[in-house]
Amino acid sequence: MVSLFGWPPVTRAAAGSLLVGALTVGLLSGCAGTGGTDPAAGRFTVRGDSVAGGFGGAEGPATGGFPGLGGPAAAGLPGGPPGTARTGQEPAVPARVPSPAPTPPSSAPPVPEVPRRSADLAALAGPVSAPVRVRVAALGIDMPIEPVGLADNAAMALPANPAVAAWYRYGAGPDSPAGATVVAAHVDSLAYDIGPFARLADAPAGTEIVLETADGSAHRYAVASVDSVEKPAVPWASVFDRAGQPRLTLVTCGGEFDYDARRYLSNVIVTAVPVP
Amino acid sequence: MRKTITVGIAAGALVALAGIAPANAATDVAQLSVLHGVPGLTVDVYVNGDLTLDDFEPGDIAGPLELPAGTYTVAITASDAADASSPAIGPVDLPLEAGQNYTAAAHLDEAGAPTATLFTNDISTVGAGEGRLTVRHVAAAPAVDVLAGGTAVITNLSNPDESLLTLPAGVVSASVAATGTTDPVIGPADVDVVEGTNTIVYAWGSLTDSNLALAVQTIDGLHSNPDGVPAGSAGLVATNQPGDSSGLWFGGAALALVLAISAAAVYGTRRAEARH
Repeated sequence: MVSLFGWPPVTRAAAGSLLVGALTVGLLSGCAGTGGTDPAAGRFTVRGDSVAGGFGGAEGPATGGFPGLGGPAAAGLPGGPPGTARTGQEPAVPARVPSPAPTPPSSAPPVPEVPRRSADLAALAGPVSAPVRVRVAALGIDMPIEPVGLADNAAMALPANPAVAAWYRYGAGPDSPAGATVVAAHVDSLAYDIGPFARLADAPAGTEIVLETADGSAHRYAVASVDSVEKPAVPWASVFDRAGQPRLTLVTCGGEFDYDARRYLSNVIVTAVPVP
Repeated sequence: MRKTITVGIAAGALVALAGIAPANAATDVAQLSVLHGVPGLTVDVYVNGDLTLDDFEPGDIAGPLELPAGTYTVAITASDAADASSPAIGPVDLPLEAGQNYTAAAHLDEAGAPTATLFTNDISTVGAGEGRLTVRHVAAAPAVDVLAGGTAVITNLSNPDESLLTLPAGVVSASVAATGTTDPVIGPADVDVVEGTNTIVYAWGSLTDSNLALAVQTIDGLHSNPDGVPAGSAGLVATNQPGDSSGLWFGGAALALVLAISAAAVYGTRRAEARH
């Protein structure tokens, strides 16, 4: 301290301003960005060593869940030499029990039911109806939802404002027959203060969540579980699952905070199941 | 648990992963779809001598069928044929490998004669936010270019070849023109390159008969997932205090100390100046 006071006054003032300026810029940039807020947070991939046993299919950076597909094992020889497959094998969906179809005119064996459709472009399924609002009355949450994709760092993109939620538009929607509808929001920001999703961490099981979709319909869910998972261990393939039972997954941050990197160390993940 | 899964894979028992793996990820069977791309001809399709598709209409796609690996003999007959003995196309042998995904297309060759081609569909994963576009020329027409938004993205594609692109997910306005030209013979048509999906577009029909058209097949479940949800940057709801992570915070604390000292020094200097 003594030596510091030995600085010439001008130098002291300049150094102080610079430091204050640098710190301010650092803090503001840390909260205003969307993907850049905590750059390290998006870097965690679900790798084999850190994955809990139940998520074995999510190994490696490509978490699509296709173990072995296209790999050397899959390129192996067919089950037998050409021709052997014909003996005693029913070619098409052999396990399917023929429905009581109209009696064929001859004694021909029943034709298996193979799904078929028009290959016309117009016959493709349209996009799912986007959720536009999330309400959790018991927690005082009522937020608009924006459809989002990815940030520059391969993490899910989020609006900077913690009072605006984001729906991962490549995944399932509330009308999808399967998979998790993922809605996320920042838990806080220095520019906007604490967001509504901060209250999710205390949501009791059974709490009702309502998603409103663009077509005006309401989809009701009940909280099944609230988990705080350290980011390296989050099973992203499961969070963003597009198969499995239809459900709603709300994601935000929580737990301990790295005050240096300005990022939370955990994700708070709420799983909710549809209620009639 | 990880060890258990590894053993399971080695034994070929992927049941443990069935909960998260898409249906088409089974590696002990082959997936086969059948496209009918011969205009004006309703057919029956026989597999290994058994009637499998009855009254199969042009422009329709059937399947996917899950078939044990092996070689299958496919014969395509007129729809009023009593059996597979006098096929219009084939018989052709289709060697199907386990874990692969195929489309057998009945179509016209460049000269307009009915034929069949077995395509292997690319079911490797794509990056999050991306989709795969496969274009196949199965029309009675010379080589073509495929234009997206008026620009050739695929050039000199001949019957029965294919070309693959990986694109950011989104709608592409696609048209097909004779190679080296831009005057569309098909389209323009909006093709939705769906995220995590192989969108397979067939140019089929006959140029001389003026019935060229597009058919489309999609294979989903090829997606990757975001690798994080960075959802907080202020630490306002942190469960730890800045001092808790002493190692991380030490630099910041030192900085704060310097700031405080600088501010005190500036304040002191100004007081001193004011007294003059």
